[in-house]
Amino acid sequence: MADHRNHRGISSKRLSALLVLVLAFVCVLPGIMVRADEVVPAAKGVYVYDDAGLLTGTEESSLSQYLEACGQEAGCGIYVVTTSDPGTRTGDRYLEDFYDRGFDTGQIDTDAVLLYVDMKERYVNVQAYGKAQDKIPDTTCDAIIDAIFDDLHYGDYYDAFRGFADKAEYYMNYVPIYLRVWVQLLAALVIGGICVGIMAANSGGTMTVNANTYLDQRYSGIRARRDDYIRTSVKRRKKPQQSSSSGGGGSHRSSGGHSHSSAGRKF
Amino acid sequence: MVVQYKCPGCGADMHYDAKTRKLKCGSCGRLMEIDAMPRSSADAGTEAEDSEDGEISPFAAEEIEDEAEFGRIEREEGSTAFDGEDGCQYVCNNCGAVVVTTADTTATSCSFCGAPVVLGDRLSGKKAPVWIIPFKVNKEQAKAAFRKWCGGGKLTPRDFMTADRIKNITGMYVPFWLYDMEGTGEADCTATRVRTYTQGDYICTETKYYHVYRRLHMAYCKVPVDASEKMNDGMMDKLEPFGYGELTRFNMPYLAGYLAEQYNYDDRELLPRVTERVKRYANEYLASTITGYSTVAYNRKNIQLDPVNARYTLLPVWMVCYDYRDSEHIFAMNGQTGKIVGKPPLSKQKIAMWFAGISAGVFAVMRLVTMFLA
Repeated sequence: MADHRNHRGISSKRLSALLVLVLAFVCVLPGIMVRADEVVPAAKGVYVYDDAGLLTGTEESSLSQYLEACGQEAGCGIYVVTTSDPGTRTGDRYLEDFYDRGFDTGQIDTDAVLLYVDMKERYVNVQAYGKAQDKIPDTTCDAIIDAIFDDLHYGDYYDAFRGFADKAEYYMNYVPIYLRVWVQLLAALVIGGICVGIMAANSGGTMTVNANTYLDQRYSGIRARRDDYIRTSVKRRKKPQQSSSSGGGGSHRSSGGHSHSSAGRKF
Repeated sequence: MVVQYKCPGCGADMHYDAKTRKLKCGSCGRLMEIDAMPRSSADAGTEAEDSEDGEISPFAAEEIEDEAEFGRIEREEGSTAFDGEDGCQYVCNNCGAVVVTTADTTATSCSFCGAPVVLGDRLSGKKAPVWIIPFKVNKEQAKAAFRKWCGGGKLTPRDFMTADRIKNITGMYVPFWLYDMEGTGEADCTATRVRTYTQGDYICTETKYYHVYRRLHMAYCKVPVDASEKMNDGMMDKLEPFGYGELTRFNMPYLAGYLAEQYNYDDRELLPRVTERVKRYANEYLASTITGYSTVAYNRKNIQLDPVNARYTLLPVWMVCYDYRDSEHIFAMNGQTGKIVGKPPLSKQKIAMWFAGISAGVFAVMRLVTMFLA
């Protein structure tokens, strides 16, 4: 009996130890497996990760300078990431992991706009994080892709990436028309003019009688009324989609827990 | 004929006192109830009343006619000394001086001795007012109120605000017609109720159509229309509303001490004006009964308004003449409520100041909001 009990005790201990080992392995495995071949942010100040080799050496260095300059203007990091082998990651996942990793190591700007080109699937993806997420929501990500789509499609990658930087900077610095200084100044002047005009018009006294002043309520009223329902017409309209291809609206979240905006499609 | 009110105590001239609402003797302060005075209604012969009063007019009607003839002849001969259109000349009972009047004057004061004079014959027959709202704001109150009003003007020049150049302030009974109108309004419309809801992937806009019909009976009471040629219509309209609770039957003593005019336009002539105005009100009333719809389109609308009656009424107005930089500004004050209308001079400097101030303020707020949003 005792022996049997002892044997069982040992076996359960072993079992649990094995379980912990397996669990730990399962947890770490994807990280180990995929991170073996992933592109990681090398250091702060590197903006081009051209793993797919779409650019020549001179193009890469000039693009790098260009992205840095645009990023300074825009007040955020502007990154271009390419790959020809995304591994098991599909869609937005690659760029999300890229950002998560860069965030953890502190080697990427927390406010960032990223362009990802997957040459294997011919998939393009734009994501914006932090401050940039407010300025560049999903629809704007999509608009950026629209702007560079032709260049990407026909293989003018350098132009496409420069175009991406331009657009990112433009949208980051974009001020809606009603927030622009001259528009507001004009509006203020118009309001001032209207107010003074009303004051001047009212300086001579205003009409204070209205339609009810002289109405004799005792002898006035509705003598006959009808409200007959005739018919109903219903117009149906499809709900506008938040984003045409990245699917679904609202904010996206990376596995590292970073909320961002995103749009992507095949090119 | 000239009507003047003498104090039974001392024989001095009496005038209407807005504070006590009685006739007051300027000399001994004696007060007399106006209701105790004989009425001077349209039906009662004013001559008979006047002769009852005894003291009032030394002239008989014929004599006045004579004078009138005389006046006409004078004018035909080329004299310009006399400006009364109907050629009547009135003589002050006190001093015998000719009372200077225009053709429309019904009450004034003797330009020579200052005694209040009421021209009784111009207030009788067809020209007898039915109602009157006596002055409630007296001269001192009117002046004070005007000064206060000038000071409160946001765009008036600083030197205007002191209001120390009131050239003259005249209490005047302005002739009005008070119309009672009655009629029906009919409207036949197609109205819709619009509702939006989502159903799956679709946004549905549901429009329900209704046939709406309304028939109203409406009565408008005592809509005032200024019947004096001299008075600016817009200004008189703005003086409203008058409190009709104080509407009393007309009696001549109310005019003692004030200016008064008779109407230039009779109730028929002014009917289009009042009809146009009441139609506007009726339209609003009709529209206000059709509620609960998103849109209303009229297929047919018919408003029929008929005058029930029109009553000749005198309403109290203080006219203030004000000299400012060589030009005269005229203001009118409701003699019952104290409401003031009239175009005050506008200071360019103050307009610029307000304009700059408001614009700068609005701009600052906008920038702040922008910074907050960014």
